[in-house]
This record gives sequence, structure tokens and C-alpha cells, in this order.
Amino acid sequence: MIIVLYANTGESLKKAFSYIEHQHAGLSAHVNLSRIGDIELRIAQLNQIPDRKTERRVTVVSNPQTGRELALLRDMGAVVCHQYGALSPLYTTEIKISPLHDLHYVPHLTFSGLPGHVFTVDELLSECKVKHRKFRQRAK
Amino acid sequence: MSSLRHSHNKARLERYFEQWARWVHTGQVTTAKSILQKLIDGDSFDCSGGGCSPIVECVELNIESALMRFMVTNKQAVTVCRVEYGALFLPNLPIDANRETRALRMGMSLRTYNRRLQDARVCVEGELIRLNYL
Repeated sequence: MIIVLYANTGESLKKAFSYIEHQHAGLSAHVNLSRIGDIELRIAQLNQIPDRKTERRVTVVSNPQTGRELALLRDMGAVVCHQYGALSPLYTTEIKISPLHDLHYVPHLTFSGLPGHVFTVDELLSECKVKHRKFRQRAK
Repeated sequence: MSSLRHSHNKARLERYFEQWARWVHTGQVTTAKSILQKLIDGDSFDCSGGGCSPIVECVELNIESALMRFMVTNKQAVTVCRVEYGALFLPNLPIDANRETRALRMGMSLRTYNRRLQDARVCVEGELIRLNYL
């Protein structure tokens, strides 16, 4: 299963990923493409993500920067999650939030007064698995 | 003061739910006493064996009947409540599985699971308040 996490700060990304890592000990990986300049290399790295079908192994891709990468990830069945709050400069015309398919989250386990569409991290992981199952069923 | 009472009620409700889950597996609640209990109470053994009439007025039965009534309108919430407190076991699922695993096994997300559980709890809590258990 692939989860794309858009986080405003490195700290919130770390918080969200550490929860996922804790739940899937030994079966989670983090792909950070921000240090690779060439887009072809980034695409190649995304194509090499192993075991996309099962939900036991979770690959977290953080902050893909171009629309091409995001489109590829969506085609692979990745669930795209955006941090709730003020949008970072990352959201250009290429990166768009799909209101029907994408999820919004806060990098905390408990948070009061959230709007209905925003999930805490534990709810987010569960929601991603449900969405992933639906995608796999449609693909069959 | 009110929050203290609320948390006290919450703890009692949890205890009642646990009693109910145990009752679901062990069967009916009866007035039958063990020999040791009879000795402790100083009862006589002369009287006839007597029957063990089922108790029809207990919190376990009231919870069950409240859930049965709620089942008509919200069946999934009742199932979630049964699974949460161990009154219903899902096949091949460990008893100590966390909520997320249970929710996924039942084909719903954690948020849906929590919402349905809350619905069932509110229904039972209302019924128990009405019957002066809480």
C-alpha cells in the first residue's frame, strides 16, 4: 500500500510517519524524493516501490513535487493525504487536492474541534486501508 | 463536580458492559448458590433442592434488551458494541486485537467503528439512566 503524505513541516511528517512505522513495524518504508533533482530519476524510484498490493507493507512517499509524480502515484493506487491547515508553497498549479479522493489529516492522535473531513493519524491509517481495499477490488 | 459524576458514570457503564459480556458467554444469571456460599450464609440444607430460577431483573438483561431494541434501527452499531466488549468473537481475530484491526476486519474505518460504538453506548446509557442503574 502506498500513502502519499503532504506535510507542512518536517516535524509533522515525522510524527505521522512514526505512528505508521509503529503500527507496521518492519514493514514500512519512507521514500523521500526531495533530494533528487532529476524528475526522471524520481519517477524511476517511484516505479521501483515494491509490494504495492498488500496492506501489510506500507510505503510512505512524502511531498512529491510535480504533477507527473502525483499522477503516477494515483495510478498506482496511492492514497493521497494532505495536512490540514494553511497550505504550504508546495501547492502550485501542478499539485491539486482532489476533494473526492484525497484525505486531510492532523499529525496527532487526539485533537478536539476538528472538521468532519479531517482525520487524526490513527483514523487516517485506517481510512487509507479501507480506500486501498476499495481500489484493489475495483482493479480486479 | 458534574465532570466527576460523569467520569464515575462512565466507569460504571464500562463495568456493566463487562458484566454483560461475561453474562453473554456464561449463560443465564440464576439465584442458585454453591455449597460454600450456603455454608457462608448459614443456610439450611434441609430444604428441598429447589430450582434455580433465572433472574429477570438485572443490568445484564437490561443491556441486552436495550441492544436488541436498538438493533432494529442500527444493526451495525450493535454488532460493533458486541465485538468491542467481547460478547461476539470474530473468527481468526485475536481477543486483544486493537480497535483498528477489529474495524478493518468488520470492513469499516476506525472512525466509523468509533461512531457506531458511541451510538450503541449512548443508547444503552440512556436506558440504564432511565432504569436508575446510573
